[in-house]
Amino acid sequence: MIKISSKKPSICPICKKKKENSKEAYCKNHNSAKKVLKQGYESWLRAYGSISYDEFIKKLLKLEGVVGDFIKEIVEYEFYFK
Amino acid sequence: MSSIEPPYVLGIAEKPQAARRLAYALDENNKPTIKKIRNISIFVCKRNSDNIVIAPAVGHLFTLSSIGKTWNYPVLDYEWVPSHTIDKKARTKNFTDTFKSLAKGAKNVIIMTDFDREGEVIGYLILKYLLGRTDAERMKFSTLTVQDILQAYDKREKSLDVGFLNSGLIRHYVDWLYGINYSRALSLAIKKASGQFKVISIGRVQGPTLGSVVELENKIKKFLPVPFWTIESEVILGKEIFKAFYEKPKIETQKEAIQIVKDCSDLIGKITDISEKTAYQYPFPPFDLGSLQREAFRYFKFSPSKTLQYAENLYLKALISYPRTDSQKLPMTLGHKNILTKLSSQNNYSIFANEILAKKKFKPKEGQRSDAAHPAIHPTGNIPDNSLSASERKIYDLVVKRYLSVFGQRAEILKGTIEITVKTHKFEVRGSKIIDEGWIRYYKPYYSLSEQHLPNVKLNSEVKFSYIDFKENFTSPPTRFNESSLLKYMETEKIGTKATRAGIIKTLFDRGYVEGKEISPTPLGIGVVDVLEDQYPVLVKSEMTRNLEDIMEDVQNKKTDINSTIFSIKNELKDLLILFHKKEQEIGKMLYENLRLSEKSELTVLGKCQQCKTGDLRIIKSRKTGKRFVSCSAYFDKRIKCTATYPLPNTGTVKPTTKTCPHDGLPIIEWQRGRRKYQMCISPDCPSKKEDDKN
Repeated sequence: MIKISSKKPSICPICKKKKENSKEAYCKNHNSAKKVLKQGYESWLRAYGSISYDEFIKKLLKLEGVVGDFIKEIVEYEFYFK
Repeated sequence: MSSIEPPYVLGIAEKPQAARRLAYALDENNKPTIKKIRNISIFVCKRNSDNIVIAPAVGHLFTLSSIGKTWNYPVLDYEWVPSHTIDKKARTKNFTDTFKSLAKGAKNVIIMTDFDREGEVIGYLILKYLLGRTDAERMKFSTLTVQDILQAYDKREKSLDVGFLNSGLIRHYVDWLYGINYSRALSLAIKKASGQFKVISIGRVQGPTLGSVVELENKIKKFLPVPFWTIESEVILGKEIFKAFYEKPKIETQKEAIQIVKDCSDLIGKITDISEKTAYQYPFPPFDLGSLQREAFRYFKFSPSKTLQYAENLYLKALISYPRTDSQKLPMTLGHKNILTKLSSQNNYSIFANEILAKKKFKPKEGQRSDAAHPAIHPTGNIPDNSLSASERKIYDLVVKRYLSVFGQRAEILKGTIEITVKTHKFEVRGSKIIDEGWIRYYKPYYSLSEQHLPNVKLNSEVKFSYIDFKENFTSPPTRFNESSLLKYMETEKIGTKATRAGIIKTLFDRGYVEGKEISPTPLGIGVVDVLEDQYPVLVKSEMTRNLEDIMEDVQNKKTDINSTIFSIKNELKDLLILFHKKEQEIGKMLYENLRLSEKSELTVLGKCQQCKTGDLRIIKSRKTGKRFVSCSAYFDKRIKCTATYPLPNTGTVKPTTKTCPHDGLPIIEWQRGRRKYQMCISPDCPSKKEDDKN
């Protein structure tokens, strides 16, 4: 049987799944999505020459059907809920 | 007891329809006597001086079952038992009893099942467990035409094909061992961790297939589009406008794209090259099962399992050859002249068949792949009757046209290019002209070419652009599998066999692991794969199943012995299960948590509860009655224990809308029954419903 621990469980604030490492901010999938987001900004910076991080996020949220769900969830969580 | 006069030669057919065809072909007067045993039609034929009794099976009459009653694992001992004793829905008892009653009077037995692994196993199990024999003669045929059946009878082998038989048997053993042990292991892991019993089934081939679907879904969910630019331009040549392609199809920076458009702002270019070359297109290879399934999906949107079913029906009607084949070969021994002559009497194909026959020499184009047992799928030339369904007719037409096309000449296309230069930038206008359609004529409408004629232009002449601009684009995420591309992927990854792949995909749908035409994993599918990938990856990676396929291939090719192979597979499985047992608690706990999360995400939330103002109103399906209703999530909150519930119609589909009722603030749902859609408040006492009643 599952024992209910009194400690706050180490779960991902976005999907409520268990984190691999409690020091990490998110679960495995959302952590790697966050890394992709960071690398993505660098690619966008190269492509546009100059673009602010806020503008990058705004543009990203406007793109329909191509941005991965994990990426969208990270963006929405970090920009709307934090 | 059978009422048929012994002694007789007993023929075992795989299906009733096949038994009928075999009997009518083998009887000297094409009029076999039909007798009934336990309501099953048995055919008695006279051939030479022999009485041949042909009895049908209905696919497999036996299934594997564990020895021992405990529901635990590892389970390594099994036995063959009649299918009807395990599966009460299996209508095989009468067939089993019929063979038993025919056993005594049989002086000799001929296996007449389909010539492949499964056919060999079906025949062998009837032979061993119902007729009490270990060997029999074997008829081998690829079509159910009279000619092929008679030839197969005259040239029948003296004994079973041991390679096929052992390869078929070992597949059954291995699939059963992996399926039962891991399904039990996963279900018990959940039970031990949570106290709840839930059946989680996974198989040796299912696991890696589901794993691949989830892996792709994760790539899509982590996809971040990157911008790139394209140059869009059109030029005026003669009096017509043509699309011009810039030398670089993709420009990586906005700065470069702007510069190109700026450089070309005069909209004037010069023709710097005109070239023409002849390209050839050769016919596609003949159909093996996989390519037929893919083409039928591409053109008709038939699922692979449906295509197989239609193709098998056509085979049983002696209209096409045996469809479960890997071969892309059409040897001359098939008698192409005879097939084409027969096809020439069918209105739809007569022109092309006669055209091929009129050539002095005709040899089909073949592909690389071959199959030890059967040639590529081809028509027999027999004329279809009115019993064909519309879908079967489509598959028939596709098979015939593909067959005709492999006798066609290569297609010849003249490809022209006009190069236009603006400063340092080069553009191309491309055109094509069909010189000879060749084989494509035979294969229409399943393949066609389009033409783009280019006008006569002079080198170094000036060209005006009607416009040049850049367009911002974004890279696209990988495409989800559809049933056809998943089948192709399984073939490439060597997951499963030609005969099982379509069934595996169907099982994933049936078990609720995947959904949609663009196949995506359900929360349940993701939940199971997530845990296994983390704790026990061997079950969701293709390496293990691929290795097992190689080992089983060696058994078929008689490189290794079946008993020693199965012994080592059992030992390996035992070790893997010991490893699983060590992680059982952790796997069970994670699986239980993931399943709970997946059940939650599958819940449909309609809106906030108006009674307690805290919980969510959700659609719940009663596990006991199967009926659905709306209840408040705060029912489980001890402090609130909100009892708000609302009934829902139990027919049709119910979807949430974002609207709320103006009368009571409760959510409005959309109920669809047949083609009719209704929007209504969830409360049965809502004044809006009383208004409706009055009207």
